[in-house]
Amino acid sequence: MPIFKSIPVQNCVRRPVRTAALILLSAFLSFSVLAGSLVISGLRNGLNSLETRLGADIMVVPYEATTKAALSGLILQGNPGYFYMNKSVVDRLSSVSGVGQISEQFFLASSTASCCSYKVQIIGFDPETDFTISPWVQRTYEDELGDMQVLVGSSINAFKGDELTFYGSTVQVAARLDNTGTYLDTAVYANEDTIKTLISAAKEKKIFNFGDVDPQQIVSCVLINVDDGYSVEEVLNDINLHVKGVQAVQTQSMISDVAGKLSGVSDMTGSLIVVVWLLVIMIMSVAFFLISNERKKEFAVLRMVGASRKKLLSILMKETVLVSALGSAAGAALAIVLVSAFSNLIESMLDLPFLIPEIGGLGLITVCSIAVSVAAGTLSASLSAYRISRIDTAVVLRGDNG
Amino acid sequence: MKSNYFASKLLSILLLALSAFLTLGTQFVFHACDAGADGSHMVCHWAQQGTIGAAGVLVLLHIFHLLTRDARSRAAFLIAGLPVTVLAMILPGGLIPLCMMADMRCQAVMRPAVLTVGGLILVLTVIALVLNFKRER
Amino acid sequence: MILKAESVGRRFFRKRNGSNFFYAVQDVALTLRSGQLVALFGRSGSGKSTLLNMLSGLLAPSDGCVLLDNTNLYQMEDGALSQFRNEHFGVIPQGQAALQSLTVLENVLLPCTLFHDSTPQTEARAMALLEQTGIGDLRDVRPSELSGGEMRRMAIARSLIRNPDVILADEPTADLDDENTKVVLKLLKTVAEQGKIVFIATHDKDTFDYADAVYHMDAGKIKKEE
Repeated sequence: MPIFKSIPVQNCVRRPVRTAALILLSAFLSFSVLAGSLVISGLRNGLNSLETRLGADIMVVPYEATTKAALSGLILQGNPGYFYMNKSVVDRLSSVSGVGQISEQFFLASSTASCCSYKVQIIGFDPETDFTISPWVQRTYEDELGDMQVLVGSSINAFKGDELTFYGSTVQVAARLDNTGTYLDTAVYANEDTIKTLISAAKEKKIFNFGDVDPQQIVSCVLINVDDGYSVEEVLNDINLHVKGVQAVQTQSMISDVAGKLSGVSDMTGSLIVVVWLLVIMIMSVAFFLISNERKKEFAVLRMVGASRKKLLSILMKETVLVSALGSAAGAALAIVLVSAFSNLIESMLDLPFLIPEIGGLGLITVCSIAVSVAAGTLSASLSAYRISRIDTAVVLRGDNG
Repeated sequence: MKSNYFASKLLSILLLALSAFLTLGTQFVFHACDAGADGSHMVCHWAQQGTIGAAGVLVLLHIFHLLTRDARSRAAFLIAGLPVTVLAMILPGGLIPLCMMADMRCQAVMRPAVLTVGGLILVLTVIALVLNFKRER
Repeated sequence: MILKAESVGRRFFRKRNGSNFFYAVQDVALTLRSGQLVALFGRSGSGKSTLLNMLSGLLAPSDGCVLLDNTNLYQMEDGALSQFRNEHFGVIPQGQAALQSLTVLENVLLPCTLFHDSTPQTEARAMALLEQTGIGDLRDVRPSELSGGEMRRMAIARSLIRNPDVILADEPTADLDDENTKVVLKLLKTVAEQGKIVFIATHDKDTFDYADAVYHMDAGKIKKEE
């Protein structure tokens, strides 16, 4: 007998309203658990990505930058900003014992980009010494970045070959970088010479109050990796004690701020899922109970024509699994569509790095979510199904006229 | 069949509601970026206007679809709605560029919302067409 | 074929007159043979349905046993007994007993589909039975649209689809008009003449004209009418 003509399938197909209602309920189950898990794992993934991309043990910035909260705004929320200190800091830092890899970066915020009035963060790096941006860049761009060329983060709506204008200077997009889910996606990257040209241009336009900054004599931040044999705290304290006018920040501590916020969001999402599940499972159990009461006679007929108790149970279970699988798949599809479509919104609303898991991880979470939803649907039907399989056929059959 | 009739009427109403939501929502709920301080609009504003226009046409088609009884005409209105829906979906970001940053409103809110609602309309239209075809047969 | 009830009794839990139990059927001995239509006559509540259910394997008796030839029904476990019922018994229950989500034809075929045995042959047989019972043109209608008589005929067609040895009918002519009563009884008589055991519980005296033997049932006890 073809599967689409089997009794469980017919029972579902020919009762479209009842079936649709049950499908909707189980869609709620899988939607809530998958959307929740995707948000949580997206945030974890974003945190990991941030950790990798920060890629340095210590960040040294001008002392004012930390007090103005410009630093965490820039690093965690991607608010464009700029701050400068004298270049001589780099030499002083190099002489601190325990300092290994060291590289400087330059920050500039654009006032207007070519398309929309929105500030863009421009980050300059020195390809000779850089150890944080280059490994990431090399995944999409192998050549050396030329003068007046830039790389754009994945959140910027510009593509290879496009031209962008900052402070009257035109730069060309050489490549678009991988998505990281962090502030780095909303930035534009240039080499040291290019950014110095842009900083000079910005100074000439007098849009920002740069004061007497000499673009050739400045850096915005210095990234440091600590040599083996030294502890990060040790070097950090050494810098803060001996190098004047700067503040060294442990990148790990910035990440733990993010992690703390993340665990708050996770807890809330988790409790929300639990509440939704309890409610839906309760409603589903009641629905199955009412439906099974209504269908008692139907199952008595099946019993009469030769269905064993086991067979009744299997028919009911097949119906339930069919309906919950359809509902869970629909709910899961909706969750994936919504969470990935609105990932940017989630990121900016939570103010946390957010990166949807890659296809493998995504598949695994999806399959698990569908599986637990189907299991929950089946569980909420099981009591009613057991009751049905135990019906007293004789009593039910004589039901309506004594 | 009775249940089939019920389902297709329900679908017609749902489709009309969704296209109305697409029109009004793009205007008032998931609209594009706000105008600048000087009142000037960014390019995404025009993408929004285009989507509202296309969605408005879709509302008309779905009203006709709801009010028509003849199965062939109903199918015709549904089929006519397909390219209009696609147009409404590809206008923001496809035919008319949106703003530069992915976390700006037009990119973070308007476009995904238009794509989601539009996608839902497409799926429901196909289901309605299948039901329509079955009924005719 | 012989269907035999040996001192069958069934008690139900019910507090009445100081006792915790009451006997719906008590100490019934009955032998039914192929080719005979036997009527069981009695008022409502006299225990007819209970006896019928015990004969069909749907209700285990508290005392005694039911045998079809040499097979003791209630010594089988549920799965085997269910399949045995499917193959050897056709039951026509009281009232509106049909799956509402299936058409008339599908309802008639139900005993076959349940055991994945719905072939073009069984379908042809189902159609033939529907024609025979006079509702061939209603094959694609849902049971909810049938009248009482049509529903009963559908149940008869369903009870015959597996070509069983025993037909057990519970009030097959209740709520039917005279004409339909005749049609249904004639049909059952024909079935009996084809070599089946037909046993009808009824309180309709018209049945007597068709019966080869009549039993009376009162307060759970059975007596043959001579």
